[in-house]
Amino acid sequence: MLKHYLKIAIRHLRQQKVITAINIAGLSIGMACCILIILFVKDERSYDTFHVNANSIYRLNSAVIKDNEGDFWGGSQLPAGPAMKAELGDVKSAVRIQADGRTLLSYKDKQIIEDVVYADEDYFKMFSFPLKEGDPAKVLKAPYTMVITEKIARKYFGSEDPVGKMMRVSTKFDCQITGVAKDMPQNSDVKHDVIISFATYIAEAGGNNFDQAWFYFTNTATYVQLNEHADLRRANRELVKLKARHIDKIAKSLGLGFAYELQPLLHTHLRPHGENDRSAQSKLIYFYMIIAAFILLIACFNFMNLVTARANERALEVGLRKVMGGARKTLIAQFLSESILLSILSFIIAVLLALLILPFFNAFADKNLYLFGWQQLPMLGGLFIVTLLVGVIAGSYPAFYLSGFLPIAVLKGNFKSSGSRIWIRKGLVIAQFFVTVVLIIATIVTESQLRYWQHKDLGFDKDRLVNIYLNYKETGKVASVLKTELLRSHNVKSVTLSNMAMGISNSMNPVVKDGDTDDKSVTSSIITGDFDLLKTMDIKLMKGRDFSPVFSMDSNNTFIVNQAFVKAMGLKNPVGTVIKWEPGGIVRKGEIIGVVKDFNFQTLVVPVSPAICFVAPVERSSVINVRLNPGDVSKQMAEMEKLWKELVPGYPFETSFVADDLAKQYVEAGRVAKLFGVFSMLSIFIACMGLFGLSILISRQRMKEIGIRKVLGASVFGITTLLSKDFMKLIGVAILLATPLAWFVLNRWLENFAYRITIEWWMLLMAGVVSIFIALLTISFQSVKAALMNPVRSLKTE
Amino acid sequence: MIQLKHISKHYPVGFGKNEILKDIDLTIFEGEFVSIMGPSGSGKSTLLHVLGLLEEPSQGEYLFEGESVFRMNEKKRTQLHRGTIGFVFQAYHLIDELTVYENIETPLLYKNMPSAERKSRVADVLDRFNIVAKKDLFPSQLSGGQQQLVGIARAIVAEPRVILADEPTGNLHSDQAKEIMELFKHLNEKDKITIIQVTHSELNATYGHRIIQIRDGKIA
Repeated sequence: MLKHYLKIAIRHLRQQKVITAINIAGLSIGMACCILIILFVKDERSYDTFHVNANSIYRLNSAVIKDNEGDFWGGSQLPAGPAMKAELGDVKSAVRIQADGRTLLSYKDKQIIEDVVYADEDYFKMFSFPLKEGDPAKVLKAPYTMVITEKIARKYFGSEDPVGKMMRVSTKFDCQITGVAKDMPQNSDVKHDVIISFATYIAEAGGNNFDQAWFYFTNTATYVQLNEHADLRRANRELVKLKARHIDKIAKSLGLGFAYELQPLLHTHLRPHGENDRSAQSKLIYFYMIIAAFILLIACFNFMNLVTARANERALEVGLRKVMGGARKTLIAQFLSESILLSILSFIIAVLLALLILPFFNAFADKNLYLFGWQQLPMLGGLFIVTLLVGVIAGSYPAFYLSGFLPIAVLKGNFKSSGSRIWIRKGLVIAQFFVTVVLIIATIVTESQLRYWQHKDLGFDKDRLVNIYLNYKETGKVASVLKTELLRSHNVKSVTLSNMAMGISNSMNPVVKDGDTDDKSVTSSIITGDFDLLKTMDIKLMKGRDFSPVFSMDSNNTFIVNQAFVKAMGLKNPVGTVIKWEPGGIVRKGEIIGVVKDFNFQTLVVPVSPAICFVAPVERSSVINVRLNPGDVSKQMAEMEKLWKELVPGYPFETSFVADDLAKQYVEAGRVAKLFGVFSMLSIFIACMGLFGLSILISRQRMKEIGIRKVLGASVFGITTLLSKDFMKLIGVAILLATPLAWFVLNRWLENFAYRITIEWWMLLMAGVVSIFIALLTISFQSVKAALMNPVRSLKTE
Repeated sequence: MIQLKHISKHYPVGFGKNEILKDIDLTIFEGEFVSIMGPSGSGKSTLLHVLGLLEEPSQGEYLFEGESVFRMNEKKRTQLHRGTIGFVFQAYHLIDELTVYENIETPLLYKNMPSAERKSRVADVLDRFNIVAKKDLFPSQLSGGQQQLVGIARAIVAEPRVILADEPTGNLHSDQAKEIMELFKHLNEKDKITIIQVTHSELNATYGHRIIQIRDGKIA
């Protein structure tokens, strides 16, 4: 009997190739998409879950509060870790991880730039990164010791045993390798390939253990592990007391507030800026999950819709089978086996599709996801159950409803879909286009925002601007020679030595007007440069004058500020005002000689902060900013590299284009925009497939009516309109419902950014027009075909 | 074999009702060949549907071999459809997705007949109706007369005791109609199958033993 069912099912599916293809494609694409999103979300949520102590590790977040405002970030001061271990009873151990950024690491003739961190000795005890060689409790104890991963070991030492060897770090000092860690899992935020003992950092700082540096912020993350029976609330209370002992006084003197937060390690990946993180990252995960659910739901509904709509055509068959003695049970079994067969087929295709797309998806999402493995079994199993369920639900309408029908009603031909069925089908069309319209609007808005960022006038010229980084003492020494040599080339228009790479954030300091108290300070970005700063960057001077070698005082004690600074300080006549601040003990004081137009030296997510520029000694500069003349960029870069090699042989020539650096800031936003694009395309595709299938079925059902109308003289256009009208009404309803929601949600999203577009009426209109147009195209394909058909044929079939 | 007592059938129409059958008394004996005639809308098809257990009358009693049909449950009725009653329709009503062979085989599948027996039975019927060459064709590839032949073959393959035929020749031209009627006659005489047909044609009606005229829902 089952063989018989399968035979009929396959013949049925074959006979209606288009609808079958639509049905399988819709469900399998939806499921494949769902598989990928679930893999992605699972991976995002799995960060650092593999640590044995994962549940008792916390990260110390801190926030500087000014005027009751301030956001947490994942860093904290250097003394915080040791102080917590010493003063908080619940803290078992504390590990500071101090990022040193990209550093030149060399062994013999191998010189490669690596990401290097300094970490406290408990690093390998707190986190579950197994060591291949070395004792976790001892490897990071002594100064000038380091641990590298197998990957780095292979790169530098090949098959040699690295333990005991010395590596040179940043040309400054040597470290002995005391351990080799197994390669760390990719889903961790605390994984590092080169870990130098924190004792080394202290030794390099001349033995200063930073125990008083309570208001000195570097790139340090502090992780603490609590005792087994620790009370988190008690730990938090004690943390407040610790803060009161060490920090409140300094903060108050600066007119600032300060706060700490203990964030569970397991939360840190999705909420990088603390527990109340409002950044897109954490929300996106939920958003993706909702999208996945939506797409799956749409695909499932489509599937059921098509199967059930098609079932009406088979009412006659059901009636006949009953007359021939088919019991209800066997009919139910027949329809169920048919729809389950279809859904299982879709599932298999979905898995294959996901496998096919996975490499591209990995490249796009910058991940290393895989589909086959025991970890994925629950997901695949779950989806398979969903598949079966969809098959059962889709099949149960024809199975139970039609088989319950009195055969005579069907045989007489007066069988019609019931009102509730039609209502459900309408609801499904509305729901699908609702989602589609929301996604189209989201695509348009995110895309426009991205474009706005990319093309916004930044207040300086970002094109043909190259940064050459002076990361080492030796390179710093030759900076001015380099500048002179560079300026000789006809390729170089202008050069300045500064501490600012544009688009990469720099140091901040509280600045006050001379005579004011500290609590009136304005936290400003400090930009150092030389006399060519404004000229090279192409920054517009609004008031006063530029730095000039003519004025001797310019080489140290005059300032140029931006408009944001003037506004924040509330200066009426900025030029001539004396300001001062105290960086690291020395007092810097001088007159404002000019005001420049605000320029976006930071990301466009935040407003331009107050900034002051001054001419600093050459040694303080960390970047050579070069403005190139028009020409072949690769040749110009080669020429500069040659010059560099001549002057400072052995040091890496590290450069970046400002335009590229800026573009990198929008990678995440660009990814979101692209995702929206993909999602809305998918959703349009799936919704249109459903629409297409439905329109085929409906025009088939109304074949006789169309024939009669044509005989009576209806035009092709008239019939096409007749068939499309009902669908258009539904899509209209969907647009009316979706537009306000999309507007509201996207407005909220845009509010996160300082520089943003407003949502224009045409963006909303465009989404509506696009969806109507695509829907119309889909439907009319079928309705025109129906309308063009020879009426004799359609009337004969009855 | 079949006994109808005071059978009435009406449908609700608006606030009133539309009476199709009014107080029908009818007895049909085993081995009879009965033709039901009457103008359009007189209720003859409805009567046939009632006889075939496809429709329930509003009132009255129906005894099939002495057993009241209305007290039968769904299972029992399905049993009757499986083995005792065969149907032939005006519009043939073959299943489009199945070949001639499979169409004829379907009633046997529902009887849970073993495969070997099924094969021999179907082969038998195909042979008898001279349609062996057509067994792998689909209904759409056959002429109307051939389709109706398959329809009849399907009706008798399960060896029913009664065949109910609703204008079996209504869609056929006269030569084909004659062939079909001869077949019915043969089945009635040789196989002792009771046949009840609804027909418009005086000529076809003469093949039967008895003609029942229906007018306005009553036996005239």
